[in-house]
Amino acid sequence: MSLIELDDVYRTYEMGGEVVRALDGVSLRIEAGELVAIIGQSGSGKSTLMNVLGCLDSPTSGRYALAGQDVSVLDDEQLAHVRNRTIGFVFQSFHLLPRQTALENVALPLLYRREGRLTPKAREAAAQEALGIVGLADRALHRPNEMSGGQRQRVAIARALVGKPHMILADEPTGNLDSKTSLEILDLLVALPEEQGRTVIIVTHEPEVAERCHRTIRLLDGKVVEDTRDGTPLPEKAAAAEREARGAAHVD
Amino acid sequence: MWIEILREALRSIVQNRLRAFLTTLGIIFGVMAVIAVVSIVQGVFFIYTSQLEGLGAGFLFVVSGNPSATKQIKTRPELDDEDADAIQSRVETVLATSPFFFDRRAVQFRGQTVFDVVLMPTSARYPEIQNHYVDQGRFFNAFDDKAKSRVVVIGPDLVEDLGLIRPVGTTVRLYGVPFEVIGVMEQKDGINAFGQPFDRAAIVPHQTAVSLGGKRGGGMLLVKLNTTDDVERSTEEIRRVLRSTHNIPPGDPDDFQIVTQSELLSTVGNITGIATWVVIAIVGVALLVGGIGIMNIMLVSVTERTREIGIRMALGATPQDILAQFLVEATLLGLVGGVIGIFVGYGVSWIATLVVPDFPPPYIPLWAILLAFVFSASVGVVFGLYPAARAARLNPIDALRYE
Repeated sequence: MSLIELDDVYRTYEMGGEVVRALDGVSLRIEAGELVAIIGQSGSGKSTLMNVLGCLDSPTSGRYALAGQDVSVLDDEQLAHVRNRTIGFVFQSFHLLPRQTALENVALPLLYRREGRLTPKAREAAAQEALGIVGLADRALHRPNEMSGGQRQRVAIARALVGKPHMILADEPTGNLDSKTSLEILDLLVALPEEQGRTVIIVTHEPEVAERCHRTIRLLDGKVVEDTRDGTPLPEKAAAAEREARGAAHVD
Repeated sequence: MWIEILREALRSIVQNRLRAFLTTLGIIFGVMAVIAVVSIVQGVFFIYTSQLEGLGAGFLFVVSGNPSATKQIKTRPELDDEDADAIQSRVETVLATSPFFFDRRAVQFRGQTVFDVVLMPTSARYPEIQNHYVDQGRFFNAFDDKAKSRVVVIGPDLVEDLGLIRPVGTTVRLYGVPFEVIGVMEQKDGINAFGQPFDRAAIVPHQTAVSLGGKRGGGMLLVKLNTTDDVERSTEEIRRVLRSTHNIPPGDPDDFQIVTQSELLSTVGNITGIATWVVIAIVGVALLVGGIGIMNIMLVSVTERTREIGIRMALGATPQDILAQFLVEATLLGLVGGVIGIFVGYGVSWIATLVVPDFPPPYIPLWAILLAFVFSASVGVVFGLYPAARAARLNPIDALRYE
């Protein structure tokens, strides 16, 4: 069982009476502990893929199993629980709550945890630990507007890590940062699979970012057009599964 | 969880202090009005009932005429000394009866004229009936009454108004003729059962006033019972005596009305009750306006914080979590307004106490405070529901993208 199993996933929108296929039959397997870059130009469907992977959006058709659970059948509330337990988000524009301290921001996912709720003290301790991982232990009581962009993104990464999710979904994590800070943030993210045992998926349009990842999935017009691991195409087995799924879709 | 939600709501309100204050003004005024009016009405009620109770349960009075049967009464109903004597002699439980009416006249002393003085023509039994006695000099007696003596007993405030230094023995002019002041009543703050201030009245013998043409209308009788055990039976006996002295054939309606203290009390209770409900209705409108204010500001707040809602949803907040957050904030806004309103209303009732003499210190019944609390909180809940539901229904992707 893979961490992520996408089988023939479609996501269509209606725009001015026209049907737009943002995801056009995507099948994918991502294993636990992988470091994956999803690349493509704007309009290629990579944002939609990210939203579907992040359980922020549901496929129009097809199956999406995350950590063994079919999430395409879940309602809003159940999806919220899945996001909380399984996924840590890192956004391009950080998306921290401006009125709260770094510590409170980082502790936020634990607040919304239903099973195994922690006491406020334990939540604070976990948040402090996560801030330590990103090297901001001494900035716990600062608010976002008292921090640099790089520091804010570190807080966001700490927030993504605090709930010990299966995977970190980073959407253009360096898009709002200068090149030096970008490198630092990227270093932090690419080290996570090894150091924290988390799967990391980075959505980006920058080839330099993709180069740092082990696996690269390229989207074009809602389809996967390239899937390479360290420069070599995927093993035959996975590719065959993909072809099979696509074939099944064509039968009807 | 609730503690964090509460803290978050408080933080949000504190951060927008001015806005929160302006938003809750409607609630503040509404609750203030409830508290102030309830307190003032209770105060008035207290003053009036304590005075009525001062009359004693054995006090009752008879007024001529019967509003429920005006057309059937052929004779001009009249209550006079004869009626008083008949009741006095024929009803065992009656301690004293006195004819009574009031009149408004100018009282003159040397060049000084005090207009519109309340004149109370009555009999020598008046002091026992009203529990009100002379402080200086004497009250007139039955002989003064029979002889139509031109004597007057005046209240202490009237003494002052007339500028009398040694009142007993001086002569004042009433009905255009001289009257001798034979006594000054003791100080008895407040008003009698008919709303006249005790201390500003002039009391004269009944027959004197009648002979001088002071009596207009049918007059009334003041009655004091010597027992409070069976007021109803005594009332019935008085009624029988009056029907016989007035020669009312069986089956015809009474041409008088007997009013007991308990009836007066319940009338006052009814009036204050009505006043309270009228105010509550007005306040309902104020709270409605306040509620719309809350709804408005919560809708603004939801829009302003769309991105925050998206972030929270991405991190695992369920629609219910978001709903709870905004609902608690709206409820808290209502409650804050309610609490401020309670304090301001209390202050307003204190002002009433300081400005109006003899007004009791504000008494705000617990039910009024609870009502204010429950009302302001439920206004928050009701009017916060729609904005909160809108927040909860947001799509996380759109909310995250919202600028």
